Amino acid sequence: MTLRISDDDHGRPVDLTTLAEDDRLLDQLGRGERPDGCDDVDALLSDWRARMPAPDPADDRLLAASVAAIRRPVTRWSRRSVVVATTALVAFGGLTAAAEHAGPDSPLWPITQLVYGDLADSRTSARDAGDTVADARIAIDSGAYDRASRLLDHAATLTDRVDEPGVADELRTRIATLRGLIPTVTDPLPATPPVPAVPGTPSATLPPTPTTNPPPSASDPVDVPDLPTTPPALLPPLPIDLPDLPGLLG
Amino acid sequence: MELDGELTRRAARGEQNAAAELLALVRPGVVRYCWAHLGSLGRGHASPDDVAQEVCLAVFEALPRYRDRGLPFAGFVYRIAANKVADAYRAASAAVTVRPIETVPEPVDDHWDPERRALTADLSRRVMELLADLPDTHREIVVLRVAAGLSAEEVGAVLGMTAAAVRMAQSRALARLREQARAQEVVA
Repeated sequence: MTLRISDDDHGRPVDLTTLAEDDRLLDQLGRGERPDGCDDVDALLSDWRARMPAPDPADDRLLAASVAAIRRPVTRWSRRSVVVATTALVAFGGLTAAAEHAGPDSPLWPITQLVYGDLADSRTSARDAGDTVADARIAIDSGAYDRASRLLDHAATLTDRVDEPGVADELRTRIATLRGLIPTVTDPLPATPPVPAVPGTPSATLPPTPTTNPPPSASDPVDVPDLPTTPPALLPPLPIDLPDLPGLLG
Repeated sequence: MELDGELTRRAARGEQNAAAELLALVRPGVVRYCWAHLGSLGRGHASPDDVAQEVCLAVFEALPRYRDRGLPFAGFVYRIAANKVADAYRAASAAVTVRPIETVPEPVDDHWDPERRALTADLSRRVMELLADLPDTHREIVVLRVAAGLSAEEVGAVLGMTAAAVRMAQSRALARLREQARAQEVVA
């Protein structure tokens, strides 16, 4: 196919066949495969990829550090929170009454955790369940019904740990509502392409949509958290070439 | 790097098995990415393996704040990786008194065969010299596609581009590399 879709940097047309071939080539190189009949550039990239080291698959030391890294911010916060909460308890005993009604995002939350431990666990579960329900809603909106279903199952499990009846009931209602938006298979229609459900209009006849992710777009970037130890994203450009390092790149 | 959103969620809760599975999925590509960018610097600068470990730790530390929105997890991982690599480059740039590679002592825990390390560094240098003439975005696309092994869609998530734009850019990058290679043959 020689359909001209654009000009490259030198004014030459780029056709769809070249785009597809280059994409396949890079897929192969990325998998570490050596393409058939490759030219000098392909061979160089292939050798480069092949020589890159593979890490030890079972690095217990790094695994332990990684798991610790997940918990680290919580641990630091908890330790500081206990000090603050203990001080508050001594100085302002009246705050404990207010803390009974605090949620995980409240400044009084450390006191709630200290004084009302079971209640704090319940509210943490309620918050996690709420987040999971929100994620399930997003999955439904994007047509990922299998994932939405699993998320709702998980939300239901978390809801079972919620001790406050009103909160648990509200969560169960939301879960039931979202379950109603997930199409159930009543008549297999293998030839029919999957159709994402329209929120608010549950369908009993649509087959489930595979849990593939929707394609990304520039207007819908990945949710990247703040990284306190690193500067803002630097892409692009990346400082890949460092011609000013004498003796290394020359 | 296709990941189940539940895996990241379970890992974010600190579940050991999920964390191990996630680390095994993420780490190989991150190591190659760091080697691609830093492998040509030689010893005396940040080791690509050390930077890769920093990336993995940063990914896990940030994991509780990551929310699966149905977009590739690679976007999350490799933006962190890009920042860590940039930090390593800044550190390398700040080290004005660079010693020749031959005089830099072996790190104590260096498990790499020195000959293989030298060959890899030499190859990295040749590739990076070839890639040096590309625009920054095109160069990063080649590194992410070949070294990290990401799909065009995942690269798009990293760089904030559509997959179609990535495919167009990668074709342009390859065309330019081939042209350069031909020109070098003629000169040689």
